[in-house]
Amino acid sequence: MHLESIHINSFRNYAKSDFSFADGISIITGPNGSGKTNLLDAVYYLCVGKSYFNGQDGNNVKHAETHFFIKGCFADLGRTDTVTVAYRLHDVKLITRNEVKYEKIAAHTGRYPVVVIDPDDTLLVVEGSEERRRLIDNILSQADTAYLEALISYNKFLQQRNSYLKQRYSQTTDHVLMDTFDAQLHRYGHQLHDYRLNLIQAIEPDFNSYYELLSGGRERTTIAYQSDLAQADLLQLLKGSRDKDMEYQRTTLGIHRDDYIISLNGKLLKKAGSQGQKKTAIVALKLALYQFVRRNKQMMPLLLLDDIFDKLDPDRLKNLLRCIDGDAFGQIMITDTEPGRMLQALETSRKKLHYIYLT
Amino acid sequence: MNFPSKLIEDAVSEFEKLPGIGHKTALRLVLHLLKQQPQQAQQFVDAISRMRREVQYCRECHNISDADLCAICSGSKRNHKLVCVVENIRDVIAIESTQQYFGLYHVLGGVISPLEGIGPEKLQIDSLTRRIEANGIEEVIMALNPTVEGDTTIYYLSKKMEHLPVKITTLSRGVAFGAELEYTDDMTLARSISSRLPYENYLVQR
Repeated sequence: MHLESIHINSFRNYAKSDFSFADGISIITGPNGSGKTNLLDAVYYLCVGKSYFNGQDGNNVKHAETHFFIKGCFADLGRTDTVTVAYRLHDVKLITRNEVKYEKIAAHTGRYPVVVIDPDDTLLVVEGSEERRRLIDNILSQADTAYLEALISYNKFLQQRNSYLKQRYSQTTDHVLMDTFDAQLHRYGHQLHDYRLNLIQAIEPDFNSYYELLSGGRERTTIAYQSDLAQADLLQLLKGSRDKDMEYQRTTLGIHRDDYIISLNGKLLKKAGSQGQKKTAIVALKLALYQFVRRNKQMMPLLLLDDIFDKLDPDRLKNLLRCIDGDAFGQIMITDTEPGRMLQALETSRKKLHYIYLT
Repeated sequence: MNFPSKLIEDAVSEFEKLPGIGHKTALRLVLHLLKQQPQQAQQFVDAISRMRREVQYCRECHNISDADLCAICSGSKRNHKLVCVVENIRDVIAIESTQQYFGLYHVLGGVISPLEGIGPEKLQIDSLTRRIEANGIEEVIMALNPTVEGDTTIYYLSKKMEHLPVKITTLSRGVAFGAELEYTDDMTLARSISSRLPYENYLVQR
């Protein structure tokens, strides 16, 4: 699967532009503010139906405009799919595939899988657990629609339970209703837990070998899945914490508190890792997640690399480009401010190269 | 918008309160009524006011009714041991129009959703359990929407009925009649496969 072309209208700094891409590596160069990242985000929109870099849809409409429109053609095994994303300010977003409108945006997720590596990725290490959960949720949702469905259900039941806990002061607690929410959270929580556990186990070998390839070193990296559900089943946990939950007016245990702990030679990366080690570990993690999606979907996800020169030293960059040059990766898009640098780094690439110069 | 008449303005603002009616449509309706003969307009007003004044809710099933007990609950051809639980009156109308169901109904008046301030105490739940006990109901069909709130309500009701000797069933969920598999969403198709039916049952259903 690869994206052949894209048409962008009123999106961020783009008024009306068309680009075509190679099924190998597309190198997008241009000075700061020329729209490199915005182009990647438009590609991400076509794949996932939402923005990667700029949050809400409203933020992505070109200044003084009222809507944006993105259209792309994906080629896969001799056939071409046309995907469009249209958004009008304060209105609903419309996504179509081959001129058929999606009833739910979730139904689009995972059809054209994509993995992004960007300069803010080290936040994944230093920030709280939410960022890490979001990454893993994003990957699992793309890899398996059933995961996304279960996640949406879990979150809705959690919202209802929390909402009930907040209103309870006006009435005596209906324990049958609490049992109801607990049973539903239990059902979806364990499904999600199994998916996450499976992912972490599945990516560990790739994570290690990519780290080694990138750093050229021998450090042993591990990623551990930390969950309340590791100790007991969620039904028991929720029963045990009900009094506390009622006091705090929220659900204090469950998979919405999960975390993923990355270590280097047994030491916490967050605390003991250098800047370089953190960056390298996150890039290795993303590459391992790429391979996870690829195995699950039996197709090559798109790989988007934003401003990687800024975060990796020349040696590691060379190693990264060597990693992704092989048959284990499909279509790649890379942005950089200096055209010469990329040209040199990819001189010996076996993939088809295509340059896009932005001004 | 400026109106030449306060009377028109009042009428328009009343129509505007109705669901699906905007400002312009409201004005159109009011002007239409104005063009009619006075007795025609009076008939319209009477019908609405009588409807509002005289319609009752059935004391058994909480469906709308012209009497204390609705036509369905008092029907002699109905199976009085079978009760179909629905969210609102529109669902009763939808199921009745299939002409395939001959039991009774129970209108909950909503589904459990604390987010919208709807707890079990706001729904006709106690009256349902009382009804099952008092009338010896044998089967309860849960005909609620397949949403988080619908599922919560079904689970809650089944817990509340645990101690009662009643069979609880739910609507089957699957590929829509006349639909094409290719265009059925993944989740529905997955459920249809996991809860597939023996072919004899399929023939009976047709």
